Amino acid sequence: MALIAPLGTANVKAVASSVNPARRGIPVLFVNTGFSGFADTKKYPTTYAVLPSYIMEAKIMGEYIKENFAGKKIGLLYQDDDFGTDALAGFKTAGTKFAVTVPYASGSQGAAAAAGWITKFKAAEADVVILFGVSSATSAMLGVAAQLRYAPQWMLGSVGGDATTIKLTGVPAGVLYNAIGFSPVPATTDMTDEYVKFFSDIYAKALPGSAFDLNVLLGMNTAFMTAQALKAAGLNPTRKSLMAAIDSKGATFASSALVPVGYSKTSHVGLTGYWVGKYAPTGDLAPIGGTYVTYTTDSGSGAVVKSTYKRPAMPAKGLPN
Amino acid sequence: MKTSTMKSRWLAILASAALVATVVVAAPANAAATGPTCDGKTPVQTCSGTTSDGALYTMQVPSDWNGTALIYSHGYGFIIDIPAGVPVVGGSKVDNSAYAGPDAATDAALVKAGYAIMGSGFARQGWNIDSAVKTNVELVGVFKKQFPKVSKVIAWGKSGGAFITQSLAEKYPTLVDGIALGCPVLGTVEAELDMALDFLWGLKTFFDPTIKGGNYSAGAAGAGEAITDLVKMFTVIGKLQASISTNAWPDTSKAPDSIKAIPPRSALLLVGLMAGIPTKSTSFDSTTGPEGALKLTWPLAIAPAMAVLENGAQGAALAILATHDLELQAGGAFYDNSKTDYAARVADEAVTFNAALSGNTALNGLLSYLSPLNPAAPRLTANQAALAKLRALSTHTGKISVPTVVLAGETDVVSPAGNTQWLIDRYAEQSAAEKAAARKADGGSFKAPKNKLIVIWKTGSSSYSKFTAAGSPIPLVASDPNSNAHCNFSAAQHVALVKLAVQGATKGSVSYDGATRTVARKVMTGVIGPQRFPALQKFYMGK
Repeated sequence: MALIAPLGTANVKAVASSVNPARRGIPVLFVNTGFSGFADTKKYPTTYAVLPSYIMEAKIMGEYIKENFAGKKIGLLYQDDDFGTDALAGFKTAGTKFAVTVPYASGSQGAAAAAGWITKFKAAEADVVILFGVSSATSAMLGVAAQLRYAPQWMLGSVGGDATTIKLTGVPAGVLYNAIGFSPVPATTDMTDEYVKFFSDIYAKALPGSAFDLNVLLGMNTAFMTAQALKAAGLNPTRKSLMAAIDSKGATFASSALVPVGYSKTSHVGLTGYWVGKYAPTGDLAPIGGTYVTYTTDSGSGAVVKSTYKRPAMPAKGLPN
Repeated sequence: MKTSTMKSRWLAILASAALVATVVVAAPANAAATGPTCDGKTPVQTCSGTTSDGALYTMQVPSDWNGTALIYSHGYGFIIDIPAGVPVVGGSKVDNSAYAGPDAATDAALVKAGYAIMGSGFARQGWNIDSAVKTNVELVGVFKKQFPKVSKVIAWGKSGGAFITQSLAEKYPTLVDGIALGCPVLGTVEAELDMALDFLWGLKTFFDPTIKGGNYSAGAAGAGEAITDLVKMFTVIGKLQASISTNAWPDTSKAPDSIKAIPPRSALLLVGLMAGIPTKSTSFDSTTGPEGALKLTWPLAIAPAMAVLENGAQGAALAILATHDLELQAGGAFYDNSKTDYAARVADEAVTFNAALSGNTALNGLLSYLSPLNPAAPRLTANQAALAKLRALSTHTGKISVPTVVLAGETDVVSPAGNTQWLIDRYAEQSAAEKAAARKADGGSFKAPKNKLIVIWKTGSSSYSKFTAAGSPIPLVASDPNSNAHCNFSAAQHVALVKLAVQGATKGSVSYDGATRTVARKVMTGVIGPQRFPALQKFYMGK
């Protein structure tokens, strides 16, 4: 019927070329990657993004730097593939100037590599270091930096700021403390948020004792959107009616995200922005100043703006309307 | 390929450098039609003779013959003897023998099932489509004259023999009632050669510029050059195998230090990707890693290059030997990469295999080295007269007039899956046109035209790589448990393939019905066609 929430740019690209869901008319819904290319409806006509693109993320980072770190020396560590290419494009659009940029090839990250990265950032006297890579790169970097007592202002991309994965690598979550991070959905500890409360209650009943983290929230949110898409596709949903439902109604689906999605008959763009937070010693991200300030933008040359988006209320009992 | 000549011996690398080839002119053993001479034996009568072009043929007819005659076409045979010391293909002799089937077990099973079988050795080896089709037409006539009670003729073949079979069906659609294509080469030989020669050019450019890589001389000198290239190519492949653990470039490489700072496996993988060499091979599934620290890193960063290395050993051997053959036929060099955009060719794979390519910076550096502007990486330009002559050799239209059954390997390096996809695409166009015509003609009482093509993809397992306790990969070529090697089908699979074609010929159509699905799953260890859309060969990009 459909692929739901496949993970990773390389994986989704490989499936696109070897299994060819586009040619077979198979929906590939809510891909867990911010690669901007998946919103290209000509090349991937059945694929729907859900996460904000890496370009959007970099543009919003650039805007935040402009507002808060003007005049500071900025360093950038990025994954040397389409992930990083998107980031570089976003920073370029944002006009961010770097004192030093350090690429790493996917798979090459580790403690030895991290020591070399730190040498370069130290040499450039970077005040702010952005880590635009995967969580294992963040782990290596912050773990080695803690040992070397290297402590610039860290700024983590949403992919690499996954505290759960970082902890699994053996690096304590405390290394994240005070780092700046970005998320499209509310803080997972924010029980005043009706979506977070509702999802965490369901999760606690389903998997008692298991941590309710950002991965869980994003996963449940995707399932929640999928259920709404299926209902909107009619009593006897088909692949075509499922995609038509997202095209026509996806922008109004209830979602925990604090930013809107870009679905329409001509767009498969997912979420379009982030709020900015700082990491607690526990590895939880919370909004700076206690209030969510969200930014939205696009993957092109559009401006970064502070969002006034009002998300739909949680449907009664969490069931699709 | 004649399967027997292409059994890979995983990197049994040659130590000696100079081997002398004996040029064998692939002249027929006889110069006029003879026979058939039949032995009159029961329960199987064997007949032999030669067609008017001097090609040897053989026939086997059981006493309980069911009236169906199978004509088999063998695959590409080398036109020169290969010295025994050359890896992979060494010891192969020019073989003009007649083959009524791919192996003795299959032949026996088909005859036991009541079929008459026949096949030619062809008037020449090498790329011989036009000549082989002519021979087969004559052979069918000889058979019908000798055994007039023929009810059906089914043509079948493997690899290059499948190309002959499709050509036969396209040019003589009333001569055959159905066809079966195993691991087929289809469309145009240019697509095959483009893959093989891109790989060879990449190997040469990065790792050993002394490889000639085509434009071979005429006569014995050219054969010697081809054999020398084989030796050099396998030597480089051996050095690349060793480099996986050392990251040391082969000492024959002339690449600058800036390029040599990149792991050679990344350059090798790039060469494989731009040529279209599969990243899954007999020993390397590209998903399984050894237990321990490399469990994830191995499939991500190393296995794709290892698979290309293993596959490329066969691909490059084909490149050299078939190029030598076809340059002789065309009268000069036909390979032309002067305008090939290798960056565009790997644009998608650059993401999928980014870790194994060592990242975009490394990839861009490697691609820059291959740029047409780099004098150290000279591009090759075809002799236009030779290219025209090559293109005048038999090509397919893809038209299907009789029930056709295809069995293809998804990761076959010699006849990649793109060959079969090309035929599927052509038939989809034909079928759509036939349906449109039927709608127009029937004026509302539309009756769908009969389906005449089914494809079974031999997929095998997705996880089969093996490692020692120390984490070293275990070569699986000798056993090939997953049947990834070129045309590695069992007798039972051959028989099932033929029987599907016979059933189709009886009904006048083929379909993905329950029985076919069961055969595909249980006998072929594969899946039926609509579940796969493999990429076409790189040759077709932008065309």
